[in-house]
This record gives sequence, C-alpha cells and structure tokens, in this order.
Amino acid sequence: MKKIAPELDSLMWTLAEDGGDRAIEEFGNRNPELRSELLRRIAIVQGLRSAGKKPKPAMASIPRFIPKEPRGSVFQSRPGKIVAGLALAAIAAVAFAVTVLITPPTHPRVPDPQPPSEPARSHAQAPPKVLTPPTTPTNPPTNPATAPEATNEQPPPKAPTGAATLRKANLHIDHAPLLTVLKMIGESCGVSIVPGPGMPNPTVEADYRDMSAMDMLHDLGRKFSFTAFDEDDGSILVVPGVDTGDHPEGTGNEGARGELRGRKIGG
Amino acid sequence: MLVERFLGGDARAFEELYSKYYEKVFAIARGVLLDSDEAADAVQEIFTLVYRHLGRFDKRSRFSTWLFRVAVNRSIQEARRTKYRSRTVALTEAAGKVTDEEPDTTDPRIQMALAKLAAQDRALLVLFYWEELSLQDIAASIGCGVNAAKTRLYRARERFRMVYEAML
Repeated sequence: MKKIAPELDSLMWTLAEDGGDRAIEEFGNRNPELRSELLRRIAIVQGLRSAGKKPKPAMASIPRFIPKEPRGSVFQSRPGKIVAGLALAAIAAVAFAVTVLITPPTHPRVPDPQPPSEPARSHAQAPPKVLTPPTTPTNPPTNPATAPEATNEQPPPKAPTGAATLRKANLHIDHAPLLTVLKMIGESCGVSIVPGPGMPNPTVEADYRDMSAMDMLHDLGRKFSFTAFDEDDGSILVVPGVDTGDHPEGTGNEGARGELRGRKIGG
Repeated sequence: MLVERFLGGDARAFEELYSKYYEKVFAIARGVLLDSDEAADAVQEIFTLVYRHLGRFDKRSRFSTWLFRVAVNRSIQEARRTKYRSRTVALTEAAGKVTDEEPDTTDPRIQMALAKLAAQDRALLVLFYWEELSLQDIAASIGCGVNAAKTRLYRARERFRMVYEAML
C-alpha cells in the first residue's frame, strides 16, 4: 500500500471516529484513491465500538460484591513477606551449617626450619597442599638428643602417626641446597623435617618418584652422611652422621638413634 | 460524596459505588482479558483492592479515574498471568456454551485481532472506543501524560489495524 501522508492519515482516523456522512463524502471526492482506505477504517472503528457494547450481561442485577483475596504473589502481602524472609534466613543458616560441616579441617603448616640460601630450581609433584596462615618458625633444638622432647617449646602440630611419613610424593630437584631440599621434601610429603645443628648444606640433585619422605631422606642420607629419625609425631629429625649398622641388636630407628646419641656426631 | 461517606464509616456507600461502576469496570476487564468469566473474577478483585485501599485515594483526580487506573492495571496483570492460555480455544468454547449473555453479533475477527494484541494495547483501545474516555482521562488512567497517551493510542490502533487487515 502506498504510504499515506501523516496529516491525511490523522484526518482519516478522525473522520472514521467522528466524521459525519457529508464530511466523509467530501473527503472521498477530494481523495478518491483513499476512499477505500477510509471505508476500511470506518469499519474497524465501528467493529471496535460494537465489540465493546456486546455481549452485555442479561442478568437483572449485578453480582453481589464479595471481597476476595487478590491472586497476587505471596510476597505482596505483609505476612507473606515476613514468612518469606524467615524462610530465606533459615535456608541461608542451613546452607552455612552444611558448608561448615562438609569442609575438611585444614592441616597445620610445616614449620620452616631455615630460609633457603639460594633459590631452588625444582619441580615438586605432590598432592595439593592446604594453605594455612603462616606460623612462627621454631628454632632447631640445640641438642638433637634432648630436643624437642626435653624443651618447653611449642611442639610442631601433631599429624597422624606414621601416615604422614608414609605419604608418597614425586620430587625432582636440580642443583639446590640440601636444607632447601629437606624443606621441599617436608612440604611435598606433609611432614615437618627438623634439621639438626651442624647439618651440611651441599648442592644436591634429586629425582624421586612415588617415594615417602623417609625413603627420600634415607637415600639422601647415604649420599650426604646424615640420618633421619621418624619422631612418630609427624616430624622427622635429621642429624648429621651415619649409622654404621654395626650394633648387635636393634636395626630400627630407636636402636640407631640410641647409638648415635651415645657417640659424637658431627659433620 | 460516596467515597467520603465510605471513608466516614458508611459501609453501604461502598455498595453504591460498586453498583454504580460495576459495568464500566467489567467492560474494561472484559476488554483486556477477552473473557467474561475471567473479567467477572477480576472485577471482584478490583473492587476488593479499592475497598481495602480507598484511603490512599488522594482526591486530586476523580474517583472514576482512580478506579479505572486500578482496573486497567489489575486487568493487565491478570492478562499477563494468563498470557499463554489459548484464546482461540476459549473463544470457540464460549461460542458453543449456553450462557446468560445475549448472542454476540460482533465481527469475530475484531475479537481475534484484539486477542493478538498486547494487554496494554487492548486497554488503550477499550478506554477510548468502549468507555469513550477523553485523552486526558486515558492519560490519568494509565498513568502518563496526554501526549504520551495519544502516541500510545495511535500505535495501538495501528497495530490493531495491521492485525485486523491481515485477516481479511
């Protein structure tokens, strides 16, 4: 259909709504090409108006007014809002409690024996560790034979006995100081490794696959002349010196430890 | 006068208000909802709202304007709720149903074209062609200025024309 000028369009609606027969006839004479369009609009207006008049209720009286509850949302009423708010608060509290219950407890962080003397170039492949706030490093005991049991220092956090030192990990280190390597072993396996005084600190290389901390330390101890003792509290004491194994009884840690305590140890 | 009587505690005044405006409110609701039964329910809800909140009527406009505004808003709200209901089926069922209403002799295409419009557009056409309100009253009833009401009415009429002529 050809676009009708806005003023003619408006005029046609006016005529369709309020125009008399004479005005309509005159418009048709002046704009014969719009005559059919005008008639269509008249039909539309008449149809709309008649639709509003029918159907009409035939009943004699209108229905009695009975106040009814609006079919709105429950949130539209004040009690509904209060109930909904309480329900949301209860849901939030339950969700918080469930979250707290299912979250595993964080493991205590391994104490840092001493800062590394040089950065290590290593690729430690260990299970993901739990990050905890830093703890105050404990000083290494002055005497490995008496510390840490004989001191009043805060003992390192308790770990499940045996399980911690049995945890296996992968470790690959190229040219790192021994003390740094010990620290990384401890972090990888989740144990506290406490180096004793006089520990050598040579540059070492290591490549361990699926080995426990004790196995790694035994291997390193053979190479660099130190001995590791499982303290049974989640920590491993490392002292310089090697157990020669020539004692007649007891091949376990306790025997070796006793032997070492009884002789001069040192680098 | 009736409003003041009701607010003054005269319960019968509201019954008179209800009787006086029932047909107009029913017409608005039916025009928007296109269903007499739904319109009857909507009218009860509209007058319930008015009954409860008449104290909020600030008397800056006529009571009828305020009432129509409530009626339009509530009817549009109800129409949106039943938006996805098949109007065609409802109209067909209504045509074969024995009711108390007089036989409907209007062009069914008018009803079908109205059904295809948005509830807001139907409300404007109802207020203008059915209730024959002025542009000022329409503007007050839908909560906008006169020019905006004029523009909205023009667009609603054009949309109706396009839908209607597509059926011819």
